[in-house]
Amino acid sequence: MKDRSLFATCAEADFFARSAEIEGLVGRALGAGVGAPSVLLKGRRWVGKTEILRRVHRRLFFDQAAVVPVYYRFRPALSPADFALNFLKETLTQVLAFNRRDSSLVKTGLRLAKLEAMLADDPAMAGAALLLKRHRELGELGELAGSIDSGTGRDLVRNALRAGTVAAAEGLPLFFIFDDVDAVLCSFVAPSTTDTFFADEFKEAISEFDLPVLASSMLSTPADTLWGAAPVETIELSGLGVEDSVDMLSDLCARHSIEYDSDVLVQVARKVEGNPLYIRSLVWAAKRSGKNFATLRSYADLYATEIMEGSIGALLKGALRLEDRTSLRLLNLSVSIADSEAGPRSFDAEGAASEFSLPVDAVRRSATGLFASGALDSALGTYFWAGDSVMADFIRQTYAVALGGSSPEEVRASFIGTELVGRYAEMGTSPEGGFTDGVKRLLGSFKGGTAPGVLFDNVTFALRYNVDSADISGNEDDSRVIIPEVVGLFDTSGWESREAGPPVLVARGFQSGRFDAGNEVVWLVFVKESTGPVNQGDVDNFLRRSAILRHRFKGVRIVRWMVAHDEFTPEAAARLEADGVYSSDALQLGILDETMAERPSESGPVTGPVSDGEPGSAERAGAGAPGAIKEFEIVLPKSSKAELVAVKAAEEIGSEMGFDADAIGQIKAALVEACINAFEHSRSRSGRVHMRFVARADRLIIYIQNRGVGFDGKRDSLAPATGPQGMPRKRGWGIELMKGFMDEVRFERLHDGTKIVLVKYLKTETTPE
Amino acid sequence: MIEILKGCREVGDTVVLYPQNYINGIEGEKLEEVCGTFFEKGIKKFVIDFSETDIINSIGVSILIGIIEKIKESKGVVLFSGLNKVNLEVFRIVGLTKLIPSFATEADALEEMGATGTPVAASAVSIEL
Repeated sequence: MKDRSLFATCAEADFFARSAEIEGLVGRALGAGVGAPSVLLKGRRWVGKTEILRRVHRRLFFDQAAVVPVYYRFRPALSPADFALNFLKETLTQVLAFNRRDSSLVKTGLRLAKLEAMLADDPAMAGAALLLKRHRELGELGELAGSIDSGTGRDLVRNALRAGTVAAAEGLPLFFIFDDVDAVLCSFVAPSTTDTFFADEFKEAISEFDLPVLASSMLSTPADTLWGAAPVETIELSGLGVEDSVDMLSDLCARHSIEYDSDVLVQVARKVEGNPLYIRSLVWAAKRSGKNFATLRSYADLYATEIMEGSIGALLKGALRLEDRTSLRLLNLSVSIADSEAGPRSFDAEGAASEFSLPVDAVRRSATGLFASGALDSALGTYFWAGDSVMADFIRQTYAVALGGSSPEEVRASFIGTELVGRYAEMGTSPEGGFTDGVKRLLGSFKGGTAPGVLFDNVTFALRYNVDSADISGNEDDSRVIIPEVVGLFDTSGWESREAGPPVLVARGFQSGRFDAGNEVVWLVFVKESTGPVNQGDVDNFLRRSAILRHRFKGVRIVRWMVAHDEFTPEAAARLEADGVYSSDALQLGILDETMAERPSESGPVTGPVSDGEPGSAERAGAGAPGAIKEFEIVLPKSSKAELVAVKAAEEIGSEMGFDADAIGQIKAALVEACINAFEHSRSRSGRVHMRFVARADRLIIYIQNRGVGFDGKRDSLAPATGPQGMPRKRGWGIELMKGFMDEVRFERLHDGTKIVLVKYLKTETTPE
Repeated sequence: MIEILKGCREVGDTVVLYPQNYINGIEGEKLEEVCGTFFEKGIKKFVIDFSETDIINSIGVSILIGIIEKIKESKGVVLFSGLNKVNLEVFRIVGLTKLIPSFATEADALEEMGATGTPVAASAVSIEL
């Protein structure tokens, strides 16, 4: 059969990183016999359970004949009679389709009369035909009695759920794949009743069936409640890992020409916890709106829109079915409790009823209704948050607007701010610390000497270099600022506890290389962390505080310096100039940082900022000191001759380090082998290989890392060197070549891949061979 | 018609092959294909000149071993020339230098081969596939 479609699945191009799970489940289905445990795939909403189950079903339908696969998705709010008919029809149609190898029967479905006729014509399906006949008779009896009461409904459900047992008796080993099986528990099959008959009948049917099934659930309770004594193994399915998520995001962004930054994608991946649906929704939203993932700001804006008024918001609204205020209050309560760092993680109906001044029954009813959403779960009589972080964001925002008295604009602004702070912190550059820490590092690198005055005069700098980067080397006429040798660095947080603004940095040191009182100096540095120009208010604040602070340093020369991400307003700049205060923006700081890094240091290398180098690479430079390190990073796509890019880099780096041509040739040959190995063993969708070159004073270290199956480097060496007729064996020389050309070759197994480490020493007179 | 090798030339009863700068699986297969074509023409003497070849990876090596196997099976002769230091070391590690003599220059290899006749000008070879 060329047409392998059955139940809808996502396009192959959009399917990421679940192959191992599918293979494992197919293997278990085929190896499972009577008494083998069922498998319950438990995971949050939209993490890909249905996709996996349907792909397992498709594999079993088309690629084997040992079991008859039947996929059934439990749906909410069906009456017992409707469920029974739906379940019977779906099951029997799929069995018929499998027996006839005709997937079209599943895709198009069959009318009841047609199904009955086809079953009647098939001697192997006589038992199944009887089930359908029995269903009709029960239904007619119920109608004769005036309505299908719960007794008849129970009979219908029991009759339907016997389909597996009847088929097994006829030599048809059904393999049931039950999607969203937790629906059985949530009374939304028969929402008007609290009768547990449906769960009881399901448990009875599973017990009688005696063959394992594969099921999915959002809640943790089905394993205990529905399988009874039957063995069941729960497999937790989380979202995609961060790397798979980033692969998926970057792949989708590339496909839709959406600009992105890899670090931002990592944050997106973490935020959505690898949920493929959220990932797709965000990328599509970016495509629709023309936004991107190039900066955290653009992502936060996009995410806020998606949550509040986009497709993710719509999906969550539909899934949560927030029909009353109590439901929203319960969810908000559960999110708040989950957020709290201490205290109980769950709440009971009595406590919630007391807090909301509601009857306990009303709380219980609302809570039970929420189980189906996957946002709330229960254990031991208490309720707890079971949703993901995106769902939690949706709840917070919806609650704030609907019940918290905030306007959507207010909520949106607050949300973007919170999201930015959270993501910045995860990226290691929190708004409170990132920029300031950079300035601290810079002050710490002050070792005396002078620097161009233009780097401390933002107005002159902006007038002279009205570009994004500047080369100041040619301006010898510039005044020079004396740079102190800093001996102490702290901030004023201990002195200014009542100040609302950020603490001022205090760098204490000596200038002109003389450690006497006349050359002692204190730099007071005001860092404006937030983006946006420095305004008059910022300047007034700093001048007022520095006037107070200077009394702490009597007799010591004071230098004041205002530092900011962005520019200074004309008024602010004029005031600073008038008061003799230095002013620098991020670009000036960057150049100053490079200037400081180029100076000889007595205290080891200075780690400078990461700067963009060649496309796809970054250089982390801190050269100039003994043992100085330079690092280069490259990410190679899996494409023909991609390894030559790495070879070129190695050639350049090796040459700069002083390796001779022979050594460079050896490094290149070994590197090519390492790349081939990495590509060959990579199992990530992108097949990307990450490389890091670390150039030390005495050696070059190259790290080559892939994601995929591991190998330990021993396999090739075990193969005999020669084959028939004394010819060398054809394959498996890569590792020997690497070892032959490098001084050290190491293989490190990672949890999801392998890292090869190649080391080549610079040969000097003292370096042993 | 597709171009499948940067260059080769016939010198009497010998064919000199000039592989490209980087011999990987793809380039190795091209080389194998060209050799096969000359084989069909009855040529059994080959000089592979690596003067332009900077890197030979292990997959390229494995294909070269296959080519040499075929040539040897049909009682043919193959010589190497122009190997740089690293590639010579590659062949030493895999054991090819014990089997195939290697010469500094193409001329040395041709002399060893005893090739006669006027060399045909080196050119890109197009072969109907």
